[in-house]
Amino acid sequence: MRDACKPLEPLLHDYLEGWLAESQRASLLRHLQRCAACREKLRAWEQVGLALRALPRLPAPALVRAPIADPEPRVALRLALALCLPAAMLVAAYISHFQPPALEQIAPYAPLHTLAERAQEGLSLLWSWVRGML
Amino acid sequence: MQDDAILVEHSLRGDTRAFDTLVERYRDRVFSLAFRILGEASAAEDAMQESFLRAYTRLPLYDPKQPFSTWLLCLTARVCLNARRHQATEQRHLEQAAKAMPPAPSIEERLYEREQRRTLQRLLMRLPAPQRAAMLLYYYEELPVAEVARALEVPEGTVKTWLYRGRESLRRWLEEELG
Ligand SMILES: [Zn+2]
Repeated sequence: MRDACKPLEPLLHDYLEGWLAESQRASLLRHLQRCAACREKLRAWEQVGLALRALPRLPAPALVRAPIADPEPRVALRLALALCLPAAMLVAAYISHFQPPALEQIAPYAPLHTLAERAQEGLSLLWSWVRGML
Repeated sequence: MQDDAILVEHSLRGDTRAFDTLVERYRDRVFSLAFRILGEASAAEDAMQESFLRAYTRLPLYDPKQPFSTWLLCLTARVCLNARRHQATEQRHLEQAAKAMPPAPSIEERLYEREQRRTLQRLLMRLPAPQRAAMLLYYYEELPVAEVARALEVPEGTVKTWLYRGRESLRRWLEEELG
């Protein structure tokens, strides 16, 4: 009995998943009505499908950071500008006066908080870029 | 909650925080799928990193007509299958799979159920990798056959055959193991 049913198995699976052509449906249903083994197989396959769907989702380990990498060299350039330009401006201002520049002297070019922000941005970009390379 | 499509658009315009949000949204799903295909937490972690990196660099190729999740999970499956090709030690992973499983999310989970799931994961590892990937994309992630076929670069008929064979193998093995 079981051996006779073996060639029917792919059709049986198509039936279970709703892929079976209408033309083949009627004859398969007739077989199912008189074959307990095939009915049992359908039931067991259904259980396997349910078990697979019920596999729990697992918590991912923390990503150090989203692995964002921009391979374009322009990023490196932007980064260099973001980090070096303000520093160069500060150094230039310092050298030209031989004393620490007053806040208002820097202000027209870049207020301090902006400098800090840009440096921060540059650092995080660099960090994600390095992570991406690893 | 912002739509995936909008976040993708923002990412494409260089907004890295938008991409971070997508990563945050999908990392558990990506990791879980990778773990189910590779059977090992550390390999799954590498695959997750690689998948997000690839998703980011290939984002301009993403077709918004397809759900972002589908695109990302299919990409993850391909990353996993590629990673597996480089592993010479599949046999080792096969039997270590159960041990390597990270703790289940719910602590109150019944010991019996947990054991069954571990058994299922271990048996999944016995299937040929492309068949396993097809099974997981279809049953676990509930992607349509057409998407699974596209992801694995095989005809739809092949996917249907793999699903049938994989399911039948699992049925047989489960019956043998659980009596
Ligand atoms: Zn029969």
